[in-house]
Amino acid sequence: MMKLITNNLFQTFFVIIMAVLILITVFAPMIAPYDPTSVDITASLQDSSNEHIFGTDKLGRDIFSRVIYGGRSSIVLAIIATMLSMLIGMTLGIIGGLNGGRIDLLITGIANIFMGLPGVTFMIAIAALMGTGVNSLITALVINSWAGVSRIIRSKVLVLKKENFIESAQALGASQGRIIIKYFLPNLMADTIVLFAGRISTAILSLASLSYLGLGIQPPTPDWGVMISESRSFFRTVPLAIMGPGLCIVILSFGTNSLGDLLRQYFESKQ
Amino acid sequence: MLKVENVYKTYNSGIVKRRQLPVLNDISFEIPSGISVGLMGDSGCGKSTLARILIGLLNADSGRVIFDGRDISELSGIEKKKFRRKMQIVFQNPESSLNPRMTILQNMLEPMIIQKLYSTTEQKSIVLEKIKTVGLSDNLLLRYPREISGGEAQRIVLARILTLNPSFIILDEPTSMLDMSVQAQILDLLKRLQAELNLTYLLISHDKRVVEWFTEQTYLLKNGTLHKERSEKHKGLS
Amino acid sequence: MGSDIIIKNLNIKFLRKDGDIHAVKDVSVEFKAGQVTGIVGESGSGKSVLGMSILQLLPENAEVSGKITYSGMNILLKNEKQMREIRGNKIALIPQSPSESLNPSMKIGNQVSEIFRHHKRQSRHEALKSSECILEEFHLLDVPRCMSSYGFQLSGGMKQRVVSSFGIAANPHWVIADEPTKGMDRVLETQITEVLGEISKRTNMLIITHNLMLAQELCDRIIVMHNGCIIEKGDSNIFKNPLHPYTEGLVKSMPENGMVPMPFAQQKQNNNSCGICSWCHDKSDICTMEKPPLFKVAGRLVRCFQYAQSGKRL
Repeated sequence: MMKLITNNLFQTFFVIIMAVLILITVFAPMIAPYDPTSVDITASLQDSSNEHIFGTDKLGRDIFSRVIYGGRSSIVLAIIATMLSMLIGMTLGIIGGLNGGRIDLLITGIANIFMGLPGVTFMIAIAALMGTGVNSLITALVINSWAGVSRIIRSKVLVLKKENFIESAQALGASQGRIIIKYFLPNLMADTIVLFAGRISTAILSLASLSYLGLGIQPPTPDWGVMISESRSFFRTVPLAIMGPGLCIVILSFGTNSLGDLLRQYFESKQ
Repeated sequence: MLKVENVYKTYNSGIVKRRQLPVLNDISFEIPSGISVGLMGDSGCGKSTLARILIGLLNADSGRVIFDGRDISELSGIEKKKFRRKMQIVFQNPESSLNPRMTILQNMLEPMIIQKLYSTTEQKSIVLEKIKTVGLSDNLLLRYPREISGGEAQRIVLARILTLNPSFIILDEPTSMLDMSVQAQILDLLKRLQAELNLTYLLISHDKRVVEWFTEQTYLLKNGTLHKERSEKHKGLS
Repeated sequence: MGSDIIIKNLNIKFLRKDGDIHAVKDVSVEFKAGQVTGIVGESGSGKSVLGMSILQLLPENAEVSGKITYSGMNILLKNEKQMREIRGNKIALIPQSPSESLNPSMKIGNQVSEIFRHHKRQSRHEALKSSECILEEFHLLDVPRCMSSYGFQLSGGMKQRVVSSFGIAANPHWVIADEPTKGMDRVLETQITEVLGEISKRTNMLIITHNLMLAQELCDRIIVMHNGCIIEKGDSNIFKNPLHPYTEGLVKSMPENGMVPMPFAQQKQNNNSCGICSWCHDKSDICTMEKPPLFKVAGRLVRCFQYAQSGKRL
C-alpha cells in the first residue's frame, strides 16, 4: 500500500486535496461564513478582504460561501448520474456478453449508436427538450455515459465466460443467476470500481459545462459552472470569482480520476 | 454406463458469410462402468468439444448421449441437476478452475450448496474429509486460489467434485500443465480413488504413455472421427 | 565464447506479510562457458528464481544476497541501465509462456527487427532482412507470412519459435531458456528440443526445466534443485544412475518408468533436516536432525548423508 502511494505522489496528493474539498462542502453550513444566496448590493464587486476571503460577486454575495456550497449539487448529481449509467451499462453489458448472438448484436449496436453521439451537443439538445433542471441533467449525463460502461463490462464478461471456473460452476449445476451474482460480479468488482471513479470525473466536467451554458442548475442556487458563467463580466475585478470555482472543478475531477488510477494499480497488484 | 450414439457437431463462424467447421462426425462409443477410457488426438481436434457435449455444457447438432440409461437431452431441469451429481469434469488449467474471489473453503462448499446437499455442519465436515482424501492439509482452506500451487489446485478441484459422490469423471488433460512428478502423484491418487469409490474415468490426454498407463481402452479422434486404438483387460492397481 | 557465470552463496527471499519465502538457499554453482547446463526441479524448487536472478528480473519484494560474477563483474551490483545492456545482448532470456511475451499489437516482423535495430544498430531494411534469416533458421514455415502476422494468428509452436528467436537475435553469449516446453504436447516438444539443440551450438545455454528427458538430451551438466537447494549435480547420466533419493524419485515418476509417485510433500519444511526425510526409505537418524551438506562422490555432488562415508564433505 505504501509503495503505491510513494510511486504515485502526484495522484495521492490530489486525492487528499479532493477529500478535503469534499469534506468542506459536506460541512458547508458550518464552515461558510455567509449565506450563499444573501444579496447585498452595497458590498458588490469587492476584492478579497478580511470579511470576504474570495471577494463578492455582482450581487454582493460572498464568493467563498458560494464556492463551498456550490460543490454540493455537483458532487451529488455526479454520483447519482454515474451510478445510474453504471447500472444501465453493466446490466446491458452483462446481458449482451453472456447471451451472445443476436441479443449481443442488438445491444452492441445500440451502444455504438449512443457512443457516436456528440456529447455536449446532445446534452444541450436534451436539456432543450426536457427543460432545465435536475432531471434533464441526469438524463443527459446518463445517456452520454452508459454505452462506454456497457462496452467495457461486456468485453470483460466475454473473457470471464471462457474461464474454467465459470464452466465448472455450470457443470456443477449452478443456476444462471447464481453464476452472475457469485461468479461474474465479484470478478467484475475491480473494473467496476475503477470505472466508477473515472466516470464521476467526466460527469463533474460535463455538469460544469452544462451549468455554464445555463442548462443545468439555475441561479440563485450556487453551482460552480453557473458561477463561472456569471463571473465572465467582472472577473478582472474579482479574479477569484472564476478561479475559485474553476479550481474546485479541476480538483474534484482530477482527484476522482487519480483515485480511479490508484485503485486500478491496487487491484492489478493483487492479481 | 455411458453410451454415445451418432453425435455430430459443427461450428459455425461468421455472420455475413457463414463458414462451417465440422468437428465431430458420427461419433459413437460406449464406456462400461468401473474402467478408465482414454481419448487421444491432436490439439484442437475436438476432444474438449466432445467432453463438453458429454457433460451437457454444449449441445450436439444431432445424436444422443445416454448416461445410466437416460438420454441427457431429454432430462428435465431437476433431473439434469441430479445428473450433474453423478458426472463431473476436471479441466486442464487448475489455476483457472477455481473462483479467484472465493476462498478454498468457499470453493469446496460450492458443489454441495448448489446441489442443496446436507446441512451446513455436515458440509463442513465433508470438506475436511475430502481435503484429507487428496492429501492436503486444512490450513489451505482459508487461502485464495492464487496462493496455492497448480498441483494443489488440481487436487482441490478433485476434492470438491468428490463431495458430490460422482460415479463418472471426465479428466480433460488434467496434468498437462503440471510437473511430471506432480502428474504421477495425481494420476496415482485418481487410480486409488477409482478402486475405493468405484469410479469410471474418461481421460483426455495428448501423452500416449500416460494414457497407456492409466486406461484400459483408448480411442483416437482424428479428422472428426473416432478410432478404437486398443483394448485391454481390466487393469489391477499397479 | 563469453565467460562463465559464477554464483556464490546466493540467497533469495520473497518478503510477504504472511511469512517470507526463502526461495533460494545459499546456492553456489558455476555455469561454464562451452557447456549446456540444466537446472531441473519441481515447481517451487527455486530453479526459475535462480535463473531470473541472473538477469535481475525478480519481483520487487525479492531480497537477494550473494554474488553472481560474469566477465569479472558482480551482476547483482549493476543498476537497471547497465542491466539493459546485458539483457538480450550478452545474456538473453527465452521466457515461459510465449504468448505472453509477444506484443499483441505489433506484427512479428517488427518485433524481431526491434531487437536487431536496438542491440545491433541495424537500419530498418537490414533488420528486416536479419529477422527473415533468423526465422528461417528456426524452421518457421512461410516466413514472409509470419513476418506480417500478429501474435494471435500463430499457433503455440510457432509463437515459441518466434520468442526463441528473440532470445538469440542479438547473438548473446548466454541464453537462459525458462521452461521451454511447459504445457506442450509431444510433437511440439520434439520440435522445440531440436531448436534448442541448434541454439546450444551457437551460444552457451542454461536450461531451466522440470522435463528430465529434455535436460538429459541437451545438457552436458545437470543440477537438481529441491526446496531452494542443490541436491545433486552431475553430467547427463544423472538420471540413468541417480544417487540422491529425490532424483531417483523424479526419475521414477516419469511415465516411461512406471509413473511411481513420490508421496505428497509436507507443508512446512525447516532447515534442520533433510527436505525429503519424511518419506525417504534410506533415511537414518541424522537425516531428521541436520540438513545434509553436499558430498563429492563419483564425479557428482550429492546432498545426502548416505554418502558421508564414501564421499568427501564440501
